[in-house]
Amino acid sequence: MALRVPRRRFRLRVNRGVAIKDGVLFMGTTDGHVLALRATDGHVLWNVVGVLDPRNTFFSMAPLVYHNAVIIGAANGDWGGRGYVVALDAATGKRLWVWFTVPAPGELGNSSWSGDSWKRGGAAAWGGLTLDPRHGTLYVDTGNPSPITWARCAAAQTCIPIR
Amino acid sequence: MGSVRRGANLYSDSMIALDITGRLPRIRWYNQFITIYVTNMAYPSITFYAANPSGTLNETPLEEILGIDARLNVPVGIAVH
Repeated sequence: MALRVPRRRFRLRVNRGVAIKDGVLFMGTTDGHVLALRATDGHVLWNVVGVLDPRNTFFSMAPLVYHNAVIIGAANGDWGGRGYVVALDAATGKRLWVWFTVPAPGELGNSSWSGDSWKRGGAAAWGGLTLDPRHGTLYVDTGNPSPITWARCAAAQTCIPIR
Repeated sequence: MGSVRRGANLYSDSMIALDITGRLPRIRWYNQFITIYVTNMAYPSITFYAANPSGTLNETPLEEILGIDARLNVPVGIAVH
């Protein structure tokens, strides 16, 4: 299947908030960057490309800060992407880790995808994250798989938690 | 697309609790929600502490509020409004 991705950067104008810690403001942008600004005067401390593929991914949520990590989820589920959450070093913007919402082959859960559909499986964490700092737990809420297969959902009649 | 993609498609339409205390994240638990439509968790969850249980809440596009015990990954309620 050939993927169609936009040639231009996204022109969406969405921002759901920022994070502030120790006088530094952190924010994601709709062209896939993450910025650290001095909160008092807006001076840019660092500005990095936070997404893995700027052609089909952007940021619209407010990031979180946990210890030295700026954590933010990527929006790409409707554009042939594979959802993920990325953590950047709060001091430098260097990428610390990426956690994919769709497991790769060999990881638990990958067998729930047919063929190579996991590569563009959606499940984007795009609306926001929640942090429980007391227990070091990050709650990630994900969207629909991509492309949506309505028959999958029509088979269910009620809300069914699956473990 | 002309076909139905089978499988649960983990971890779409889910609430996932990640342990981020280590060098890399690790899944503590997850719960996938499938209704007659895709759930598409559009809102960050609300966490709260209580004597028993402490939990998380999220709202689906079907105007359901889902409650989960954060420690045990046990649904504690679904409210439809």
